[in-house]
Amino acid sequence: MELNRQNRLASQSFLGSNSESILAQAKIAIIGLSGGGSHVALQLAHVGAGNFVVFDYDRVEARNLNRMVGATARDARLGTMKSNVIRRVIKRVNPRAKVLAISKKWQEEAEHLRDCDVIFGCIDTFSERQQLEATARRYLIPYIDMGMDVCPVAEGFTIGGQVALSMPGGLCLRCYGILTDERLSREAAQYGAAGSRPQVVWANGVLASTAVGICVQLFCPWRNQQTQGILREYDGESHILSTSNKMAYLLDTQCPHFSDSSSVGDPFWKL
Amino acid sequence: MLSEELLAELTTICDGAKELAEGGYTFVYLPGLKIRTGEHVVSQNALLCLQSRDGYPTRLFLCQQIQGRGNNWTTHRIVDRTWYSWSWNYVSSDLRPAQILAEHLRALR
Amino acid sequence: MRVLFKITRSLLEIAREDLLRPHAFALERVGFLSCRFAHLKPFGLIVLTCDYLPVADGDYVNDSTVGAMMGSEAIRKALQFAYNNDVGMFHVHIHNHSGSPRPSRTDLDETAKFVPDFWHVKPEMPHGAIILSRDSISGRCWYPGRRKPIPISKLAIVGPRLICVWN
Repeated sequence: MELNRQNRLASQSFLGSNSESILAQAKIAIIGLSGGGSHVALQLAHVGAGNFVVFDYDRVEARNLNRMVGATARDARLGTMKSNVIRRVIKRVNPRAKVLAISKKWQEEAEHLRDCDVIFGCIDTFSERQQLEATARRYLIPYIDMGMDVCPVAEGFTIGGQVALSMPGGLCLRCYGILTDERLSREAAQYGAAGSRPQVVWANGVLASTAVGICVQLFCPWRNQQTQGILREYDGESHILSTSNKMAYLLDTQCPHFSDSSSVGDPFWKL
Repeated sequence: MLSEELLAELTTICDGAKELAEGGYTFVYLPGLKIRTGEHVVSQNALLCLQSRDGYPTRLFLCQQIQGRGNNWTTHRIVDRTWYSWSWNYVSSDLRPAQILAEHLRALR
Repeated sequence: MRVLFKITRSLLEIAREDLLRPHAFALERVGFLSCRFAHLKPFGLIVLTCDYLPVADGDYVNDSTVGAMMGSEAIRKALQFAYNNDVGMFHVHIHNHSGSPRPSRTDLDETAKFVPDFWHVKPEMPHGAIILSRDSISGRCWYPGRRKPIPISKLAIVGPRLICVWN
């Protein structure tokens, strides 16, 4: 039975009379499909995003089941590719969505990112964030970065995270202090292995929902919001997501890291 | 940006060497770089970073991994191409470009 | 071939502000957007704007039969810019109405004459023409080896609000 398309998105009609077609035509990339990326994919399918490029080279394992939305015990048993799980997740909600699921490292098939409208980075390492953001800037694509961390402290553990919008022409992850030489160096000293980092579904859900809201706001602002830079920080103890204090200092700052307007396009261009 | 003199050092080793910028970093593209691995010489496009980045004072990236050489190969996307590099650190940026390149290639012999 | 064109909101506003300035005798202004490119799979082109090059006040020709006429010096400067910076050039001007801008007969005739001239300095680059309206944008791309320009199928303005215009 064909679903009634007119009723399907009626609850979000406040996004505008053209919002359904805008979101249906949007092309969105999600890199990293486990904790954060799986939430993002599901929510974007629900809001009616119509074109996806999803990357993850990994297979589902039992330890992913605590947080990967849509992954099942059977997937863990079979070692289903995460990208195939997410294609299934999206298609079950929105059968009309086009999904290119790539079970490789995104760096090896990055040409598929070139014509995306938005890129979500749901990845573990700072080095990959640096590369993905640079790729997004090269193709004038807004990049939404998500990160969650659980750190040991004296009295136990602390849960935290952030969502950042890196807009071409605007502030970048270095401006926000997410990418620092110290973090990149420390990561390199461990040979870049993120290892098995603690992750939990509810914190990933908060961050992913915020990221999806930012994305929808880019396409269909519902209150004429316009902002060049977004950095939200999550306090897992108080369960509060708030604008980072850094934004007050960054208010009128120009990004010095991507100021070369000629660093766009294919530097090896030929016909 | 490299001075013309320093770039010329690399151009004499690799014809067609040119600078490419991304994200505040400058890389030198080395097309068809000749790399000695044991008794063989392979030719590969390479990318040389002469400034500190990702915890490496300098680094060499290749368009393909070289089997049996180098440890802990990692995949990178830089200047819109895929590159591979291995764990070989502490080649100082104080050396001249040709020396830096030579030091990185030494790991692959 | 599908062609996708992208420009940041900030660069578009710089161009728009310049193009809306009054001129001593020209009824409208024109300028150029420098661009770089990449291929899209399976067979397409993405055009990414880098900079805006205005046409200087003194480089217009007083011709009452058209809204704006660039002099040879304007073209020479644009050609030089393309050559020096290794870019493609897209001519840009404004139609002062709302809705999707369509090229006039004069737009079609004039761009057909001078846009291919950029291949004399940058034969390997696409070049083209963009028209802005008050609230929309359209364009055509001259791709090397193709005699006729290709309509740009999607134009994206990238900023705090992402606007995609499909033609």
